[in-house]
Amino acid sequence: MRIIIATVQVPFITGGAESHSAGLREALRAAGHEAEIIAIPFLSADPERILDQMLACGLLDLSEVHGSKVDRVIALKFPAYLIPHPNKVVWLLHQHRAAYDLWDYPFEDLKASPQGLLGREAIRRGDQQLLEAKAIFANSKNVADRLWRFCGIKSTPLYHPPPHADCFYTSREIGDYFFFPSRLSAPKRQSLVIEALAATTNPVRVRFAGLPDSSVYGQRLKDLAVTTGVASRIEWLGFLTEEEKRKQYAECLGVIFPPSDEDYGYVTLEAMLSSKPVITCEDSGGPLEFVRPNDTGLVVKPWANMLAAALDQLWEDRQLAADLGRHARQAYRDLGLSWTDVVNRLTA
Amino acid sequence: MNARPRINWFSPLPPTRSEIARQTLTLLPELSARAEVIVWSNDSIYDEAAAAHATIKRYDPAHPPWREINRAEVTFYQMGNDPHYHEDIWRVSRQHPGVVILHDLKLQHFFAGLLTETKTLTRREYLELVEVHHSTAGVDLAESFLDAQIGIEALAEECPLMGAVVDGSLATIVHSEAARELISRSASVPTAYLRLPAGGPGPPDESFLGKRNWDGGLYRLVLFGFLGPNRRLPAILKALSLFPKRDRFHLDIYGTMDGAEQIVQLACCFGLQELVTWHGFVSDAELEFALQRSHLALNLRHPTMGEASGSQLHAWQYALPSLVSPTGWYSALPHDTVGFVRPEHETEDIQAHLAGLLEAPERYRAMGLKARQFVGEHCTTGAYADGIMELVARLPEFQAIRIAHNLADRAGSSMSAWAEPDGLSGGAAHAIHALVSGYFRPPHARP
Repeated sequence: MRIIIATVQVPFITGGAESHSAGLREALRAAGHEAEIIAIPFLSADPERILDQMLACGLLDLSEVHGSKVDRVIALKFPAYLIPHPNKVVWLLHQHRAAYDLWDYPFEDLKASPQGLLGREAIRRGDQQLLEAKAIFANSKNVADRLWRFCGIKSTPLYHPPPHADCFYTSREIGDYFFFPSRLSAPKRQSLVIEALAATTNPVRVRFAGLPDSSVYGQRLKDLAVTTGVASRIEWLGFLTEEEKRKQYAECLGVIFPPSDEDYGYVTLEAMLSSKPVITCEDSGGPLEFVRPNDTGLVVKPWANMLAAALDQLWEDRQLAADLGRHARQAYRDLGLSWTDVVNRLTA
Repeated sequence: MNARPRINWFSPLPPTRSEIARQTLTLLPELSARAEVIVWSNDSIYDEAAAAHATIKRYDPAHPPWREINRAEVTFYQMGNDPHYHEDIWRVSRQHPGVVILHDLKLQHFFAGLLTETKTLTRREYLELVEVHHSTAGVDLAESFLDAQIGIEALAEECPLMGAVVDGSLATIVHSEAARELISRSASVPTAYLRLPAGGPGPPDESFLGKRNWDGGLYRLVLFGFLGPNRRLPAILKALSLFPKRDRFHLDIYGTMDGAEQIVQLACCFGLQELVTWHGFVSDAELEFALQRSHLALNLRHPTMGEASGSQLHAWQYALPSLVSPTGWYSALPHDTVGFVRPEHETEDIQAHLAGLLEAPERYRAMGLKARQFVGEHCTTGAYADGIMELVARLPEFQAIRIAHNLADRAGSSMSAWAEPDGLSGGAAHAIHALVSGYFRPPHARP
């Protein structure tokens, strides 16, 4: 089949979504399909520009290229899933959450815009166009639940392995640090971890990897570390290559990943592949689909003191950390995640 | 949509000297029974009665608190012609589409006031606004006005600037069928007609009716409200001065106006100093007393600003027969509730009514009673609040229309760079608008 993967990308920002589409393209090609990614630039939360982008997607005709039929469009994100195609399949990474559950979130711009209500209504109306698709899959059960809760649209959760899943390993030399790889971004809640560090009874250390969404936000986190007195126990690693990242996973004591209602989250799966326990929160969304409390990790309330207690627990009990990590690795195997299964279902 | 929606209501509040402020205050009990109401008002002091029914909030028009404003499902804007009371409201409405409640169809006074009174619009900005809505011909007229060659009434006739308030809104509420038809013809905005409710609570009972003496003594004429040039005061004074039995009447004038001294002088020139009393702006209680003891309200409007008169409804609450100009909203009033005064025969018609009052006072008394019955049955705050809530329920429809028009604007603007015939600026945008307007038919409101 000739397949176009339709997605959006914020220029100069690369994250899990870009890895996801690249992984899908490689899997489709490996299965013998012709596959290309078309990424619509997503530039702003300004409602007027969102409307422009919705309209632009609606006007794109991807039914054929130079007279050759495009057999399928696999759409991943808003507003790319508004691109019309007779054989469109949606594999939803997430909706434009500022129009739904994040409407009241203080860091989202849509509500702060004078045209915000109109933009929200346009997005909600546009999302009903998902029903045009031949099939709707969701990146996770969490994403499927949201789509049902807010739009009344049913979808099927479809998990996939993280990029380079075969390359993760664990080291015999375990370092004195927890690892938190993620964009430095308010919804990822690095700030909560900094506050938790200030509440630990042990000299717990954390290494943050990833670039900030904005330099202002990055500086704000560093300032918080200083004001809470934990700056000396934090390392800011910035951007890491895949190899560097895997090494940090391999040598860490455990992974801390307490985002707010994450869609899916490769971090959890990568930690499991590295035989590491994951500390996450009860409201963290996607990670909860994989972390089994007290078996493959720890799940606590999203409060700094509770997170601090969990960090202290694994810091003090290294054997427990190792056991949880070993169970996590087995749990990943039991999931049976494979691109082959994903490709089969998306091309059925 | 929530069962009990949250709505923003931008409006002046009493003691601001505005019928619109009074209307908001009167409406709040009924409105708050149906919705959670946030009144946004920049009046430094306000009638505490408003706070009993709504949350009152202030705002900085330069930096409106959008997050807070966006917490409501919809925003209503009370728009009238006074730049001091409505500038902040207009500026917010330009950025945040909502439902505009129009109390005047000719808004030239408002915009000219921003230029000449509040001085918050530059001459260039004002003329640009005129050009957008009335093309270069409108600009020529506006420049004539600014050069004192024509009056504002004449300019308002040709360049009402209504579009500068209505365009971009989610919907518009007007208070007459004629206004609804006018907007439906000239603007691509859904328009609803709701009967304006009376602006004040009215008399508590009918006991005042028995105290009003119709047995041939002195008859009191009353004129009240905002007394702009279109209220025809000089013509009224002239008609009264030339009426042979003028001593049978006394004219009380209440309200605010520019050039009140000239009117007093004019009354003296007509020899009416004993028959006319200029009271100025008075308290509600004083005005209520005046309305209770009066026999005939004079509420001429020529030219009309086009919309319903809160003052008229207020007079009707007191069973006052009224003389009105047969223009705009007034022309459609039930003929047994008012007496008409033709603009081209003002002296003749006023005097005919004065003579009629002397000859057959019972006829005018009955006219007042009919009017009171009419306002009691049709112009209630409950019915108005119901109409507001019907619009709130239709909000998704209005939003869809606005979204389509916004897209049409942007698509048309983008296309105009390459898809327009020479000399037809805006043609693409207009063509797309026409298509969108045809597709989304503006909803019609209840009569």
